[in-house]
Amino acid sequence: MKKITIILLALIASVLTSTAQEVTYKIIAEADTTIKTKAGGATLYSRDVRRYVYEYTSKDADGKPATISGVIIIPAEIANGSTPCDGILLFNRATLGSPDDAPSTGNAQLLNGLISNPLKPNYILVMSDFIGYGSSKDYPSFYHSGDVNARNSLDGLLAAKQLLTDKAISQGKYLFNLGFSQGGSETLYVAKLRDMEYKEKGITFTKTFAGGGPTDYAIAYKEYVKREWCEDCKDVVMMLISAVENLHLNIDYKDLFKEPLASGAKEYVKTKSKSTLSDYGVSMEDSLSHLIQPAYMNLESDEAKTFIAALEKINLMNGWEPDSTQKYFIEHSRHDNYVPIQCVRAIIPWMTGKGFTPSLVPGKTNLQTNTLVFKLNHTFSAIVWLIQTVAAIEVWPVLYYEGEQNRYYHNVVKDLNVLKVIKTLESWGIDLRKMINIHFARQHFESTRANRAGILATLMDLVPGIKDALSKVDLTPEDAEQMLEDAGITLEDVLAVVAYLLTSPEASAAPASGSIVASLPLSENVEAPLYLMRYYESKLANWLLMGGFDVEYDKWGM
Amino acid sequence: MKKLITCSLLGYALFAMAQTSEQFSIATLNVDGLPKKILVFNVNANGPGDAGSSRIGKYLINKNYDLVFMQEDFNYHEVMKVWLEDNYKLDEWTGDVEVVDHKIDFLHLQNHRFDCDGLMACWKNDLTVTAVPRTAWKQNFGKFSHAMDELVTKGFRRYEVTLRGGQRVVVYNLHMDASDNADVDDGNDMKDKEARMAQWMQLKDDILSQLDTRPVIIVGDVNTLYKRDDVKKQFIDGIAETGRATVSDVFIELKKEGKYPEYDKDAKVRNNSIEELAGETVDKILYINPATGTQLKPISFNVDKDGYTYEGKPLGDHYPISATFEITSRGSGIEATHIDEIDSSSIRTIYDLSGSKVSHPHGGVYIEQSGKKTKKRIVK
Repeated sequence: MKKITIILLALIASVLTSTAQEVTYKIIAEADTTIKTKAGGATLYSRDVRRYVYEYTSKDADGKPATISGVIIIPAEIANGSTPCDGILLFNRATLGSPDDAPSTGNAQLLNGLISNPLKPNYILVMSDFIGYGSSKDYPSFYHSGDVNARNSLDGLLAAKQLLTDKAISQGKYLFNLGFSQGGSETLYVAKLRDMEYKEKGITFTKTFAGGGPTDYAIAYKEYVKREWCEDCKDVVMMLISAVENLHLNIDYKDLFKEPLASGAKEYVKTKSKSTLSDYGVSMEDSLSHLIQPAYMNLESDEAKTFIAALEKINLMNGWEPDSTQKYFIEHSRHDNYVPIQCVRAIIPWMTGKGFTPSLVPGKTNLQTNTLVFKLNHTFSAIVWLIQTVAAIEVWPVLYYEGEQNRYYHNVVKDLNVLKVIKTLESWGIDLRKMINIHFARQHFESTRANRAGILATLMDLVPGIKDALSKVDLTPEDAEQMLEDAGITLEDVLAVVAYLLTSPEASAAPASGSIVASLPLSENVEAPLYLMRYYESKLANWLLMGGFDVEYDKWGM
Repeated sequence: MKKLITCSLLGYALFAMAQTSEQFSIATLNVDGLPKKILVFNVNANGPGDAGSSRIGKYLINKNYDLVFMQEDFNYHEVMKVWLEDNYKLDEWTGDVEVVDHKIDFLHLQNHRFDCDGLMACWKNDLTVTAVPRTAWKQNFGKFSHAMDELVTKGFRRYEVTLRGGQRVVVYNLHMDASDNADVDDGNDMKDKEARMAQWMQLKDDILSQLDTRPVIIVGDVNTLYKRDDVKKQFIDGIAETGRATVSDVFIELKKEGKYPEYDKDAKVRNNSIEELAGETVDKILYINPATGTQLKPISFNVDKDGYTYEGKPLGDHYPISATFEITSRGSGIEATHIDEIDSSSIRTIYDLSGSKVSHPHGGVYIEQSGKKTKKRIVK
């Protein structure tokens, strides 16, 4: 009897120890300081903050404990309790050119722009260095290598929340998960890990904002090979080296790369610096075929197939049962010159099959998409993502209340549909109603009503000059069809467009603005929330414009 | 510590005052004084504006009520005031909801709250009224939706009124959280109801903590309908159960033979017209008679639709409701049975000789009540 009692007590004690276990962290540096948002050497904005550099325990690729570093940046007004905190931004950093640029070093000055900008977002910024940087610099870099960085990010978030609790600093109501480029991909891995593991630890995201991310490494590799080019070939090389190292592919670099890169790959593994790649002959504008051996530039080769199979093993979608109550924004430029858009075109339909409904309209569904960004430039896409994301988190406390979407905003977004897109095309000078032959169209639609592809093809055929008109805004008919897919436009939507085109032969005056929203015939009352979002967006756009950024507000897509 | 000195008077009957009574009228009206637009929100596009508010002022002066309590007296106060200020004394005005750049943080609108409550009162020049500081509700729901209750500082204000004949009555003027009809239709106004009930409970606590021999009248836009809000049980019966007072809704008592609409927690009851609600409005006049002390008796109740129109339309989005009361003093009912020495820290409740509760007695004669026992005290 006594023995049983002891065992029971031991069991109870172990449970108590486990549940009472706190997330641990160590503060490396704490300072009240001023952060600056810089670009091109110029300071665009500055803000007083309290800044913590901290260490916490996460895991390496083998699941062993590893000490990771990160940074927490708290607006001074929140730190001193003089203004309410709206929430936390878990920012997953983009590609680093050097370990010196890790968030904890304070050199990632453009990232400061998330809270140091004219909107003065009252959010706390939490960023992990990811393994291989900062305090974990002796570990290899896990560049596009699956869940490792995501775990670092989430463990860093838990530690940051504990630190904030201990410091009696308000954490607000909202928790956003965001990142662009490498960070865009990591952001989705973070979302995956949250759904599969960290949900149980109390993590729920208000919304995930992922932009420009290589969310499917195998597809990215295949696209790079097809194009033989990337805006910055160093990133492709880094991705290949990371895969070889972290996936233990047992590939000799001499078989993968041409000289002198083949000899310098191991050196890069040590330095993690792009300048090392430059030292070994890799330039941004290189052709990949100058860098990579033919076997890996031929997708039909055994080497390439083996390599792709290895990348597919760490595919984002493997083992992910996404929680469709979580909200997402996925943004990608149609012709991104760094990260192929085909990556997100794999994930959007997959998510659609998992209970998500794509829509280009913010707030309308659980999966907002924007693949309409016109310019080719990855950096421009980043600016669009940044502005739309910052404006969205800024306006969030107005558009959402106690977890519920503002009724007025809801009334706006629920009615936005493809017809509004048509009106936007009109605002760009593409008035489909002027082009269509009504009599001919009616006959054709009767025969092609049966399927969406037929209707779309008919649409293209029926509107003389539409292909030329689309090309003026850098669109092919195939692009347009893909845009419909990405934007979640249904057959019902298409039929609504058909009805519009057939029953409104008289062209109306084009709306004054190129914005989809601005062209809506909405009552003033329900427009108000969108005015506010547009106000925030334009304020950011003007700010960046003054800072020398190429911001073409009418080419954002939505 | 203040020391209480005892006298040895036993069986001393206080206030052998003969019964006296007088009548007075009281009205409550939501004057719909929000501006037509706040920022870019059309919050009150069909509101009365300047011209309509002036007509409301003129209407009120013609009605000649003794006491008028208003809600949403925000942006058109001045144009109403010019009609009222000759015959009435006006309470202090808490301000408008005007948007001036330097007052609003446009980047963090979620943190903004106008500090005005919209509550206003006016009383005939020959009445004496003192008001205590305004009290904000502790719980609200709705910032930019759910009727936007958190955009202003809704709450209540307590007035202590001495009528022409010397009778005294306490009035609470208040404005409670609303339910948006669209939320009602969707069955999504539970948190609005919760906030409203919390406000009723806060009101109950305040009233009971200060209840003395004076009767209490509650007037205002309570945004409450008995079928959707369990106010009958929680507030009306709740006070009655203390044994200290009884509560009655004048409309229910005079127009519905005392029968309250039955509460149904699942009912989706909109803020519809009074015709659709069988005469019940979200504006109410309730009265509380203390178990011992001065008593109110309602004589009449009216939804004053007549004359409250212009070109066939109501002047605002609420009709005035009014009541006439007879107030009768039957003495305090409090008798000192013995006088004893007691430490002042153990005293439960102290009244002055007119039966009004006193928080901090200064020198003089007072009555102390503890449970059913009453004692006379002399405080030096």
